[in-house]
Amino acid sequence: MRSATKNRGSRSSVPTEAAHLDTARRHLAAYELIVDSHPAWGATILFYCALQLVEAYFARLARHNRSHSERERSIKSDCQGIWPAYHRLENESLKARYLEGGAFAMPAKSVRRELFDRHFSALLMHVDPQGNWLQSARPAMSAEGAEVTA
Amino acid sequence: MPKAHRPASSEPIHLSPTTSPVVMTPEDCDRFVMTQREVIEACNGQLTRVATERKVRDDINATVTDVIQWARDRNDVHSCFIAPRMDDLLIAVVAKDEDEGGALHDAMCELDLRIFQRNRLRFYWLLLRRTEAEGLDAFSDKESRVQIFRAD
Repeated sequence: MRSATKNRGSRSSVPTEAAHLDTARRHLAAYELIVDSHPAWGATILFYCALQLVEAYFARLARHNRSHSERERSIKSDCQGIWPAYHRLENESLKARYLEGGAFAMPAKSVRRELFDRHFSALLMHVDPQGNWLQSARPAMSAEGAEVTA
Repeated sequence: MPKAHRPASSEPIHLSPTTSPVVMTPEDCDRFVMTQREVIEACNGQLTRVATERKVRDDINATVTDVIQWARDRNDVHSCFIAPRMDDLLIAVVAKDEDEGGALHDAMCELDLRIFQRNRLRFYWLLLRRTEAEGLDAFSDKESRVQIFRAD
């Protein structure tokens, strides 16, 4: 059985790289399910998927960021290449959640094209350069999508 | 062992890093009893705090200057605001348009990184498209934010 956390049972346990990747995979499946009907929530889930991938990247380096601000410092200090993509995803997810009166301006097509195809893909190039995670996530996306829609 | 004393004249009080006691009674009579070493440490702490405050203030001023100049140099920025949040400062940039293609966002991130590399301060940068500009109230109080740039 795969361990989802290091130091299980201790108060300071942190998720492993595998646990982050698994969470990201589930987020991506949820994104695919929801993005066309609820683009604002699609953008939000996509950001949290990116966050898990970034944490998986840092977990590989035996590092763990406990807060958004700590993560931001880590990215800006050690992984600057992904900052524009990560920040764009974070910005849109914040606006999706907090802009009042449904003012979030991105339709589903733009979420897919700008956020997924451009920014999420750019981030993936850094944290998953071989495309291994995406390959493993895509079949799961289909399976989970079929399960939910059945 | 050197001894602290209260001079009757304007003679300076001399303290050394020892454990000899010092008693200070400010106007509110909230008496402090410390060792001379602790008084010296407190002085050092205060000097550090004042220097840090000055540096942070200078860094924030320099950042505001940079944001204003950056916005002036572009033709796609409508306005910029700075506002305090719980644990950092928000810099909000309102675009003149919908920032199709994200060029303004990319330029804003570049500026953000440049400023972070210089001062290591964390600002939260938010880009609002023209149609989202009214939503600024969701991220900062009208009373506490300051407009630092507005295009002519």
